[in-house]
Amino acid sequence: MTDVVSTRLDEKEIEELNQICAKERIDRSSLIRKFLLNQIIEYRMKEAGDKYRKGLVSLAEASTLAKVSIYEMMDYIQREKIQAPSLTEEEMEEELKKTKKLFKNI
Amino acid sequence: MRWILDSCTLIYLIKTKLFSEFMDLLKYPLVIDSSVYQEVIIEGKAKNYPDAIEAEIELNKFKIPVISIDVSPELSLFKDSGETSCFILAKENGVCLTSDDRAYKKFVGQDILVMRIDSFYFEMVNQNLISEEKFIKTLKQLERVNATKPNSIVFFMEKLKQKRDERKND
Repeated sequence: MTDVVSTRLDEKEIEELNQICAKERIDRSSLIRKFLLNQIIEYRMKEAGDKYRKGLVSLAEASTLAKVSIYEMMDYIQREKIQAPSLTEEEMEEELKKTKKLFKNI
Repeated sequence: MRWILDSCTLIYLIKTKLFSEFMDLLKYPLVIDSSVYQEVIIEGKAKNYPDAIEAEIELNKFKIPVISIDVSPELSLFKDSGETSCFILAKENGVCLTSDDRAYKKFVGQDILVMRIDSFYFEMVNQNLISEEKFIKTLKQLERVNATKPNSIVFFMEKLKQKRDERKND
């Protein structure tokens, strides 16, 4: 089901849209819809990226939240230079001990 | 015993062209689940990511089993179906390898066997399966694609130094 959504734009913005429509050979409604959907995806990735930056979600979880593929989320993280918090030195020491133990037991 | 890869780690190993070498280091089989296959191969190919095609070639080359699992009962734990499937497979039998610190913490919290990819490679150095130089090169390759972090590299460089110092003292 679709519904009509209207919005107000000034003349300059409409003129710019019309120019893009002509260049892209696309009607104005389709162009606005395309731009809007792209921005919604971008917004979802930003929200998910913020959660990833804070260490609240993994990258795979972030992609699920943003409703994009893992590849797209990876690209976004790299483009925006987002770094998730890393393990502390103590946590890494602990992990290394566990790894050694694991290899001994397998 | 079996190794289980999550989606991100599989993609990073493909991106860095380390997958074949990684496979040569494994003494036990590697498995993935259909959710990981979906995320890495199907969705990647649908979006025209060349790494997805490369991943498919590598998985076929090494005849990696793709196990079908119903993730729905445990999906609330991880949100992402690929991570949930890794959790289920590791809970049954196996060790999950991940490059994601948050995923690592979540797996640890669920009391399943999990290892970070950096530590896996460091253990390969300890077992003389790769050289220290190769290890450093591997970490740098992983860092370039965001699969590891500077903190982790510094940590392991320090561990290598300790190893060298111990050797000198012996």
